[in-house]
Amino acid sequence: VNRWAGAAPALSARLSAGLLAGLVLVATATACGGQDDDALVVDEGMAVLDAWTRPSPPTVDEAAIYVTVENRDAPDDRLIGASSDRCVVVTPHLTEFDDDDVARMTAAGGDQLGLRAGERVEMTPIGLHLMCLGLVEPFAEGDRFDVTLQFSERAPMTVAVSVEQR
Amino acid sequence: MDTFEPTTTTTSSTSSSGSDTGSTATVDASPSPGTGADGGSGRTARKRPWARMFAVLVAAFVAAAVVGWLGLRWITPHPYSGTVMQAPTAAPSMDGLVYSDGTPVDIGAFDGDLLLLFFGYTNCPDVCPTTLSQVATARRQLGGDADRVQVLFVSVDPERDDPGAAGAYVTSFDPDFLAATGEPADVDRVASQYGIFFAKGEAIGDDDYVVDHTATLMGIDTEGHLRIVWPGMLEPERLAADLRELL
Repeated sequence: VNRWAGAAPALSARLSAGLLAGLVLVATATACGGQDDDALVVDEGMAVLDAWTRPSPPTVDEAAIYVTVENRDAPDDRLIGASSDRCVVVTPHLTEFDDDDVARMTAAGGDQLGLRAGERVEMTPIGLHLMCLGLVEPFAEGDRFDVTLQFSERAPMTVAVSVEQR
Repeated sequence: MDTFEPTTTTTSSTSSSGSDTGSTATVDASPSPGTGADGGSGRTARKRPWARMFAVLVAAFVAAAVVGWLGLRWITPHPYSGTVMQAPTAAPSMDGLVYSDGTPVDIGAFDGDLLLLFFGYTNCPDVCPTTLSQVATARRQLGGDADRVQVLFVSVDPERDDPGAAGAYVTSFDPDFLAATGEPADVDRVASQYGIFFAKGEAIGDDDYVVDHTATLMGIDTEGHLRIVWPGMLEPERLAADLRELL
């Protein structure tokens, strides 16, 4: 009987210490993450959450840039275009698969790029992208370069695009 | 595609027999602690044998669960992410196409290896780099088996892509990737034999254009049969799992 007598209080003390440590960890993690600071740029309620492209193969002169823009609490707006020193022309495009798995690429516009308050335009591979035509020089892994996004209502926003393998 | 139907039936029947085994183990285990409690007149004295019996039962239950899980995994067919051909046919020849170094493509030379085929064009900004990156990542995940997976990119835009340019393009994704193309007539014939559609799409500026094309990835098995087709967008992990199964 005596063998176990002291065990319970010791165990419960250790358990509560562990629990407390765990709680502190969780609280710290919550305070650091899950905030608004995951945006690359925020201006007057419009946020750019992501901007990236892949390293471009040496022989090509076209590439796709992927950005995610979110209208947090700005007036209703729409993305209408983009520009960059690294491309002769930048135009929004959409890749879609038809029923026969044929990938078709067309110019994107209108509601596809709509940014009413609370809306988000999310560009991802094999979908919406900014097509960079006439690459000035290949995108090399680790490069960063500016792209300026144009909106139908608000002033243009410039964001740094990172060149990375995803 | 229909191959998946019978496969699914087999899976569900095996899994139900598997869970039967699981429930038997539970029934065995539950009365036993009761038996221990019956004989517990002197509680402190019998504490240790009781605990030991409980530990043994828990261990037995865990062991049964692990064995059951492993067994289920072993008998359950691999759930392919690609569409497996019901009646695989020999991969059509690629006569007329040449590799980036000018040597003719002999599709039979890949026997013994798994060959992944992708038709595209180098000025393709979105689909082709995405697919080739995914294939390169999946191939890396195979570790030592990567050497047995060959990747061949066929350009359907021979007007702009000469074989050398196609080669420089694909090796930027993986130095082991191969590229081929040929005269427009040969490219047309090979693409149609593989069921690949392509056509000049939207014009961009003065002389630039996009090419709409079938963007599936095709797998030719180690015996030279067109065995599996993957859709355009695929997680590298899922592709790697399929490749491991096919090797």
